[in-house]
Amino acid sequence: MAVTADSSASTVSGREAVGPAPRVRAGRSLLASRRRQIIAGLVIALAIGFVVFEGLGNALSYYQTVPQALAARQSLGVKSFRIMGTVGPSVKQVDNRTVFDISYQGQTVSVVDSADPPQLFKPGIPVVLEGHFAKGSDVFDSDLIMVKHSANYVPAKGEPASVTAQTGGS
Amino acid sequence: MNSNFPEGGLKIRPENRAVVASSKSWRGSPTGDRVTLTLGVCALATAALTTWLGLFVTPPDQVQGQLVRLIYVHPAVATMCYAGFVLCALASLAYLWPRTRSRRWDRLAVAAAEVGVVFCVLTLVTGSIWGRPTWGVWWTWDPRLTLTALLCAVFIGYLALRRTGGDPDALAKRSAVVAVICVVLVPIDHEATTWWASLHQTSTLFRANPLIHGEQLYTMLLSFVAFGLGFAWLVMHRYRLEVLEDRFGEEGYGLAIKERRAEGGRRVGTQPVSHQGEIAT
Repeated sequence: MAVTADSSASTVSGREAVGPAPRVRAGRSLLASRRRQIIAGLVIALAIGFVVFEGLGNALSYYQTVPQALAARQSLGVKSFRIMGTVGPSVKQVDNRTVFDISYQGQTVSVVDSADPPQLFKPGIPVVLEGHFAKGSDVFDSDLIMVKHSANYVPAKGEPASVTAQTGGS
Repeated sequence: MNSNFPEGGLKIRPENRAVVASSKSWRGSPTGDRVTLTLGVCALATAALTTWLGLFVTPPDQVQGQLVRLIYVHPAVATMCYAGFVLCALASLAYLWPRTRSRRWDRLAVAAAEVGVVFCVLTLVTGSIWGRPTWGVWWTWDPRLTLTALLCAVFIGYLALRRTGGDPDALAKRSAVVAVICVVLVPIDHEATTWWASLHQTSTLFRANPLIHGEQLYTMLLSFVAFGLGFAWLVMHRYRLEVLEDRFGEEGYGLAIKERRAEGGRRVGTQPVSHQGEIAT
């Protein structure tokens, strides 16, 4: 008589015939060795160190407002920094450059931008610019415009009146 | 080598299937039951309703136009990220406290942290997608973005720590301490836009005089419900997976010992067995 032995579930002489022992929680073995733990720790420490060094180093003084920048004009020199203000009513294109003013708390700086403005850029919108003051003048040479939108959400003009009511949130 | 157990794999051998099969408590799902089914259905229903309201009912924004529709995804995802990390820290505290110490808190901590990391990555991705057309950049090192990236990195580190092995109790305690330290970043991240100059907008809802109109507000709140239900569904399944892993580990050790004994006995007086062939008797 022949008995078919299915991979390991067969029995011989009443005793279970089995293969190697199962790998218990094999998925947890990725960081089992000391060397791998050290490498993983180093990679994570480097990542956190990079974020702390690169990010928090300038994140806590992410931008200066127009009055702050003008007050520190001498010390800033032609050093690169970020400046925040609201775009003035006049925005012109001159030789592939965008020329406009930004103002904040009554003080104004003229800006010449060499990069493409983002799609929300328009007169009256707050912006953060990256760049530096031009040598010997108070004109700001910008190479990046970032729009700083507010936390207010108002329906676009032309929407039905029923949806334009101001509502208090939580 | 047994073909049912490839090197490094976790394929379940036929004789061990009983361990897992006994866990199939409800309609063949080892981690599901009526509660998770209800949660899942409710999460899908509210997500569908949010999508319909967000895309077709609510109006475009005066400044952002159609881009405003991301407000029905990004804030809720970010909140679930915070919820995951806070839940992880609370469960870790319960594990560290001698009177409440139980393996269940450790399981909850790892489940919440994993789901939190998933939502944190989603927060960074959806924020980046929103940032490109509104701000004009995919990424900038402003306080909120930097701290969110840091939060993601430290909790990935926490999950890596949990995989280092060693004495389970010592590892659970070590991980719990790390989770409690890491969660300090959550309130700092949340308040970053008010404490420091930031490109990221301040909170729309949690301030003195919020300005957001009715349909937008209700749809936004509904998105919190939808993602909250999805979060709970994920944490419950992940928690139960941890229970199964524990059970598989414990019963697997028992089986391993049994099999070793069987191997020892076979060497003494039994004939060799072909795993796939036939045995003449």
